[in-house]
Amino acid sequence: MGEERATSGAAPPPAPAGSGRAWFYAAGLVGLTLAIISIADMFSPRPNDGIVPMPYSRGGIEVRAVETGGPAQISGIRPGDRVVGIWRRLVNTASDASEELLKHRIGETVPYLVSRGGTLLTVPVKLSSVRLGGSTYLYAAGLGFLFFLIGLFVFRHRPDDRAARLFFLLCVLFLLFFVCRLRPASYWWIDVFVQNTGTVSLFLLPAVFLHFFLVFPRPKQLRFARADEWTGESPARWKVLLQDFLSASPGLFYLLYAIPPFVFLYDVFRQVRGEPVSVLSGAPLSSWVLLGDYLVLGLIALAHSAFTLPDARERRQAFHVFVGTILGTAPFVLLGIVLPSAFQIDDYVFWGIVPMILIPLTFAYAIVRFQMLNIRFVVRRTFLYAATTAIVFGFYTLAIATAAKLFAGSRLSSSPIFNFGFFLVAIPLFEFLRRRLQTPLDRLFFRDKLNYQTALLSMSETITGELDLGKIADYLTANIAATMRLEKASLWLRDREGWLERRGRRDDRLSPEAALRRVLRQEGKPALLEELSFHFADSESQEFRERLLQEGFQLLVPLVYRERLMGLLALKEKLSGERFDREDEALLTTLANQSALAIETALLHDEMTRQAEWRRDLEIARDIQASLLPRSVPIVPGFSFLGGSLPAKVVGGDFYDFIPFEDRRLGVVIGDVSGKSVPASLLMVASKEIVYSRAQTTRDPGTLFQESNRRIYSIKRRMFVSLGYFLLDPDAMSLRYAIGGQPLPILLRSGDGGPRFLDAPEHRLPLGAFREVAYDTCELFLRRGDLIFLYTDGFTEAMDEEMNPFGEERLMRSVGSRRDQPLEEIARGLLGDIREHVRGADQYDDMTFLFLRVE
Amino acid sequence: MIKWKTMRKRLVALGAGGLLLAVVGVAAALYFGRAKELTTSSSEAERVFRQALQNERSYYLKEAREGFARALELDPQFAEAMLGLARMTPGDQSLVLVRRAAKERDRLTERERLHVDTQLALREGRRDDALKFAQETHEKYPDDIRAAMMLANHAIEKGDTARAQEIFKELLAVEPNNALAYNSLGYYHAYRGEYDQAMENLRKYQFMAPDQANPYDSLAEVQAYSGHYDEAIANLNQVLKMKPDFFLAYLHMGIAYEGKGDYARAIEAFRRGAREANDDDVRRQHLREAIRVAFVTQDAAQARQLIAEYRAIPGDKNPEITKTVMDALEALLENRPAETERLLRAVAPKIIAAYSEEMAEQKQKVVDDPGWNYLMAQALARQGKTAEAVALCEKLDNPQNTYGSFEQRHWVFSGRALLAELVARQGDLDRAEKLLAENRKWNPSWAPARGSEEVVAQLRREKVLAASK
Repeated sequence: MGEERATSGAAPPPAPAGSGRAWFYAAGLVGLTLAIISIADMFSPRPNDGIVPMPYSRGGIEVRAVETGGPAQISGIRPGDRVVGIWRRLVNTASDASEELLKHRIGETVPYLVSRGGTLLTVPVKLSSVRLGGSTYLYAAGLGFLFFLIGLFVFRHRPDDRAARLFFLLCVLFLLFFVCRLRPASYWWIDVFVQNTGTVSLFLLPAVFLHFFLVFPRPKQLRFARADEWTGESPARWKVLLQDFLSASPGLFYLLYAIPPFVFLYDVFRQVRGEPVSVLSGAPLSSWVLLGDYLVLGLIALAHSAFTLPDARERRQAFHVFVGTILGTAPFVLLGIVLPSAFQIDDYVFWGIVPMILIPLTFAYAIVRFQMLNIRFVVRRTFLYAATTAIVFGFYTLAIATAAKLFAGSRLSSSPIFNFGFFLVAIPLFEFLRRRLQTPLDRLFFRDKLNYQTALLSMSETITGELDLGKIADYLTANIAATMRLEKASLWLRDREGWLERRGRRDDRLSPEAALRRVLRQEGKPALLEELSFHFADSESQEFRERLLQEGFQLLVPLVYRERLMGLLALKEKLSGERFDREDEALLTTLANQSALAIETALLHDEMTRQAEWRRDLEIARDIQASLLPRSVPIVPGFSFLGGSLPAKVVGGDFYDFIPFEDRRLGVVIGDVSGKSVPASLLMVASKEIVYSRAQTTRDPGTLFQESNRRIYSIKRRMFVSLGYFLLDPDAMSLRYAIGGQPLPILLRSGDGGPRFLDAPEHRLPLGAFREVAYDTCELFLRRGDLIFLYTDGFTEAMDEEMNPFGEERLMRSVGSRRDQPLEEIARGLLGDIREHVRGADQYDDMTFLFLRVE
Repeated sequence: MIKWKTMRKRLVALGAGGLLLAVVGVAAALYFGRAKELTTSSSEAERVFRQALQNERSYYLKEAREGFARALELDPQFAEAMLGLARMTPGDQSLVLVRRAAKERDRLTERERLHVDTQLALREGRRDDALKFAQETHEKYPDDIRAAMMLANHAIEKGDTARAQEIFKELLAVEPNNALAYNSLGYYHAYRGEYDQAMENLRKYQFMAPDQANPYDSLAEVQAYSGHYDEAIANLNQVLKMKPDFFLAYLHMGIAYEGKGDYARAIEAFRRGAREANDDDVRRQHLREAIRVAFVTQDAAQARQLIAEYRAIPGDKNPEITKTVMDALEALLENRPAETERLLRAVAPKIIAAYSEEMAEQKQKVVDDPGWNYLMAQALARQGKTAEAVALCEKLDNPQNTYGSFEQRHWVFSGRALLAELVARQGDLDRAEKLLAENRKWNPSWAPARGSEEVVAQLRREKVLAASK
């Protein structure tokens, strides 16, 4: 087929360009700001009492622990004590304490009101300085920022990709989780703020984690509701509904996001009611358990992708990420969630966090190695440059050190020229090493890219040798989709009227006036549909663009030859999800130029062939027509005739003929077939034959027309014939006639004034227009000297340059002024008048006439 | 037709905009709708008033009075300052001030109007109205400490300490750091003998106002009555160190020494208090306590000296009563109990009439006086009229207001001890010991009760010895 390349699995619909980006940037900015605040808080000196409070305790602060050697311990505050007041203020929660501590200085002695065993004690606490952020927190913060940077990198390069957006959000939440949640309670006003953010991240993170792996690398489509293999019976309705629900439906995601906050709020509700709620690292245990559940489900979804994706390359991507993620999360699930929640052992939480660095590292590797998440590895040259520079400078340093060792103590080694000389040696080495390094790096990272560049260039060469437009089109769409690993490619080709018509879909067209065409022609290079929005304003272009965007096309490649838009190639997303980069653009431009040339050549070739065929057809038609016009006029004593036909084109649709009958009567037919050229001629032949055959059996012209009409109607419904049939009875000196669509003949009666039309029959519709038409017959009794002029509408409608028709009046005047002249003179004079009227303008229609004179 | 996505965007934008507007609106409403708490044209007057109010709450009454007066000087139409000064002013002058404040009623805030109405009703003897206004204030402004205190005191007068505690808990729910509320709560717990809770609340009060004398004094008072004399004395010394003219500390110091059994220092403390007091009524109060201690010690000379000092204080509203009671006391000290009985019986109706007049405001019916009861019981006992003495002592044992203030509590201790001694002498040792145990529950070592305790113990020993023989 070549028009489209179908792919398995529904790709996520791309978000409209730019929509919602700001929200994600805002989320990232907020997350980053909070993280920075949290880190600044952790590493800035603050007055510290050395108390580690029990989270969520009310009615005073229950002391969970005191820092060893800290102010609280020195003052004699013990775990289990309850701090009910600080510096003249009774404190209910840790936030009250934070607020109060803010008012004091490091080194200040502050009285604490402590409840111990039901007794209130006033304990002076000398506040010390503390920086809460230790190496553990530093590691967690570094890990969080690594996540954030990778997420930002991905989002920056694919801001409209749903998976990339989710990945970024996931990374922001990881940052908040590591920086704001996995931090010691600082007992500072900001602590409540940051820890709450961490808590929010705790119940958002698992949902986003699972969501991401349900749409990465493509939305998960489950197929368990199948028709029975043997009976063909449809699956149960509930199965279908469940399958639809689980297959990345919006409802599923709403549910995923709703559960964690619901569980959290339920815990808060229980706390408010005074029911005991287990807490781990300052957050309700149920939130941690839910985090563990979601992590496991996310890993299952990822494993499913790693083993079931149709594309081997995507499977490899998913597998790498799966291995990294499972190695990163499994220890955390075990040491950070299972042990603390099931066995109340939270001493190893940190060791559960340490391997989590594998997650961002794996993603980073997958991005570099497989261009995962649609990322073109943009640091190619940077990387190369950095590696080369490092090697060269390493070599340079080594050489300097060796030389300094060799020439130690000599004057040469102390001279600045010595180092400069080495520098000069290093410069050529740089280029040499760069070239040496590029090949293996390209082989490592860009093999696929090179392969498809070669294939695209090969395509360019192939299509230029092809003259068949259909083959070019099919080859282009099929091979470009396959080579560039696209979801789909479609082609619009220029037709003879200049419209761009979609290959295989004639209704999908773009008019020559569409502004989009002008824009693309002027642009002359591939353009992203998203970025074309402001270039044109006409509705047709807008609709065309919207239609393409809805179909999922991303890139338009104009095929321009000598400033003429020969075609338009529309490309969907790459299967790898990569964006079209500059190299793609350059290669597609080359291919488009070659294709436009090939299309132009093929169109010219096609036109030439068509012209040749047309000319041959015309010659045949001309022969047919010539054979149909009477070679001579009949000889009827007392009557003279003169007939002729001047076709507007090479072959006309007019005709006239005589049908002689044995009883001396003579039938005269004059007609005009709608349309021109060969089909008109063929209808002319058919009409003539029909009338001729009916005339043998039917004497009444009206009846003849009724019968002939039915037959002509059945031949070709879109064409009709104007006919006049006149039956001359020389003995009775009568002329009976029927007229169907033909102009009324002009009668010049001897000694009876000027020219006038014959009496008009009541029904005069052309033949073949409708199935059943009633025609009537009129009769004229002839007198000696009568002249009757039968003609087709080419006479009255002969136009001058200003489109003024010759008209009936001029026709009557021209014929009337020559009524007494021989028929040849009348005809010549009439044609002369018409030529004078049209003044050289092209003949608009056939002109056929017949004179009948009663001698 | 609008596409769903476009509509969703618009809805989100609309929602965000609406939320922002709501936040701004609420903030603006809070800012502009913030009710002005005090109606005064002078910011300086307001500042001075607030300082005076703080002093009043710290029981620095002298400074408070000066502050309210200064605030009124700065703004003569300052109604709350008038009310404050009225609270610091005895007699009719306070009513004049409150009525002056009532003239400003129309320009005051609702809260201020309620304060004026309450004070006016109180001064004009319309106690029910005053309570009604206080209740309305408490309902509308749960953080209003004065309304809460008035309602709580009323509950206490009725013996309903639970309601008093509830009122302050309501206040603390709104204003958790209201120090005075903890002071009141501490006392209310102490009235019920719930010393641990009383101490906890008073320690909180002390923690919250460590630079004020009153928290230490409150704590010391409860400590003194509950038998923690040394702690009480230390706290009272701290009070006097912080504010030497805090004369109430001497009263409590005297109680502490009395309880401890150091009667000489007790009398000295009461005397000092009488000297330092800025009010004749308070002076008399101090000297009454000193005379009582002198009677406990049966030091007639000391008592006479104190009585002389007492009589020298001018402005006694009931000099005849005072003279008669003092004569009765002297007669008892000189071992003329019959004379004492006669004098006391003669003066009794006058005492009841005078007290009833005083208590009319509180609509409390005065049926007797604990001091009179105790003296009469002593006089009767010495005459051998044990049954009558026992009856009077039983009245002391079951006071009219079970949870009355500490100031009346020593009569209970002393009366109960005398009762124990009397019933023990009658042979009912078990009852006597129960009475003493009840005394010890409230105060394990009240020195004036020691004599009776020894008598009961001796009688018990004798009984045990007799039984063993």
